[in-house]
This record gives sequence, C-alpha cells and structure tokens, in this order.
Amino acid sequence: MSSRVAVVSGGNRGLGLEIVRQLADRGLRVVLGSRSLAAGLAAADSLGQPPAEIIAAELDITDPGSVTAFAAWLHGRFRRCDVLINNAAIAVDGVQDAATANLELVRRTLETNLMGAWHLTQVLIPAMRARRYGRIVNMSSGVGGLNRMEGGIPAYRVSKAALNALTRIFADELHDDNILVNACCPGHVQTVMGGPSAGVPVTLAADTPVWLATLPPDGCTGGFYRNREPIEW
Amino acid sequence: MTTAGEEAPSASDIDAIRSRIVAILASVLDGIEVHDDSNLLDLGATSLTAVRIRSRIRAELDKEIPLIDLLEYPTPRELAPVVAAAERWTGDEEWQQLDWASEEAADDEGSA
Repeated sequence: MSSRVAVVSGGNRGLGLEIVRQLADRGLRVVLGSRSLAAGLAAADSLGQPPAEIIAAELDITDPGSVTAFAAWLHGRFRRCDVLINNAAIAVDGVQDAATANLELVRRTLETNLMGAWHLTQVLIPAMRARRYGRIVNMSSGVGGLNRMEGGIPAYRVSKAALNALTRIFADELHDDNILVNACCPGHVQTVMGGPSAGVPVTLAADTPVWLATLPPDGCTGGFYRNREPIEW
Repeated sequence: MTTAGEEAPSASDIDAIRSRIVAILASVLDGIEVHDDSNLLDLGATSLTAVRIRSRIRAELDKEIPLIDLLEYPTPRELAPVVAAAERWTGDEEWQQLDWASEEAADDEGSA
C-alpha cells in the first residue's frame, strides 16, 4: 500500500508549514496548498529533503473554481486523500468591536475561515469515503468557544465558533464512513498571524493537529482539543 | 429519480441493500434495535431523521430517493427494492463525478 496523502491548506508558512513538515516526518505524502504557487514551492523547498514527498499546489479556498480545480488535480495526481488539515484562515479584525464592525471584513473572514474550509472539505469527502478512511482537522481557536465568548475580534470569533459547529456536524455525518473530524486550538502561536506577543512555539503548536491527523481507528471524533486535551466548546 | 435503472436489481442486490438500510436506520436512530420490518413511523423518526437517512443512502449506496418514499415505504423490507431500483446518483457538480475508487495514479508506485 502506498503511504497516505494529506492536504494542508495555507501550508506555505507558519503553523501550516510546520504541520506539513511534521506529517512528512511521519511518512505521509503531503500536499502543501498555497494561494500563491510560487510561495508554496518556495516553502516546500525550505524544508530541505524530508523523508516523504511534499508537493506544493495552488489552492485559494475562497475561490470556488480554485477549490474544484484542486480536487481534480489531486484526483489525477494521487487518486486519494486520507487527511485534510483546514488550516488556511485570516484574522483581519484589528481592534474592531461588534457594535461598529466593518461588515465587509466580517464577510471576508467568514468567506475564508468558514466557507473556504467547508468547500474544501466537501470536495475531498468523496476521496475519503472511497477508502472508508479519513482524518479531518479544523484549525480553530479557543476564542471561538461559546462558553467563554466575550467582546473583541468579533469576525474571527464568530468564524471559529461556526467552524466548531461545522466540525460537530461533519463528525456526525461522516462517523459511519470511518472519517474522524476534530477541531483544535493551537494556542497563541509565534507566527505572522500570532504576532510578536505570542508565546507558543510553532513546533509545539503543530503537535495536536498532527496527532488528530494520525488518530488510530478507534480515535476521537467531534472533539475540540488543545495540547491533546479536550477543551470546552 | 425513482425511475428504474438499466437492469432490474436482483434479489441478492435487494437483500444487500436491505441490510444496509437496517444499519443506516440503527445508526441514525442512535442504536435503537432495527429489523427488516421495523417501521420508521414507530421508531420516533422525525423529518430531520428522514433527511439524515436520505443522506446516508446517498453516501453509502450512491442512490437518491425522494423523502416521501420514506413515508410510503417506511420499513427496510419495503424500502429496499425502491432504493435498488432508483437511478445511480452522485450529485450534479463536476467534482462529484470524480471516481476516487479507481486505481491510484501510476506515477506514485515508487513510494511504499
């Protein structure tokens, strides 16, 4: 049997790139999805000679045509998809509050963080169903947790709360196909998105999503995790 | 969508589909015991349950049935021949026509 194929959206930098590296270290063939193919190729090159194959592919999850073209390319290239990491996301709230939020920014955020992940998941589910195996990991955030919901960064919060809901819906719909779907919070990670005040090193932040991406057959589904421990929704 | 397929389904096709339907109902109804003659209407199924059943029939059997069929043929025994006779359905979108069950692409033989 050939090794499993993983897709990581937003794989060209930060946490996504680290997840690509760690999955390749575990012997998975990894497709590094990147809005810019040039950035994706450069990122794949930056990893040197990993133990398994890493291939950059153009993937803009906000562009429906790009998502379906990606699925067709993956079908032609590998004819399989075993793991999907919905990592691509934007955080563009700045300091806005919900009462005065620029709704265009809200729309863009939902378009990427929710709809983009949703669409990519949709087009790859048939590949997982065909082999009755799948691991889907949604990169979420504790700030999307409803129990601790508070003011500030409203677009980002709502997008992650919605992604969490989608995680549970997909977990239920795909349970009988042996596809495990979980969300995780990487913490405040030292990346471009995390900014200079972030405390969690990227190597550590990638551990939980990589664990969820390689769960055994009796692994969890429909959960929300940080540091491999369940956290409140 | 319930028009007959090109070939009439065999008895063993129908048997296989019936047992899949039993498993689907049991799963969607959270592990309630389901038999060939269990009636959906007696099992506490709601319209939402019906939608989920249809979704599993699509996913597992590549068949599309109208929701009303679940009311008209509410037991696995009655529903199985209806599902068996329904046309193959994979959806209308182009990405839904990709056949992922076919052989893996040839240029990947090197990586074991």
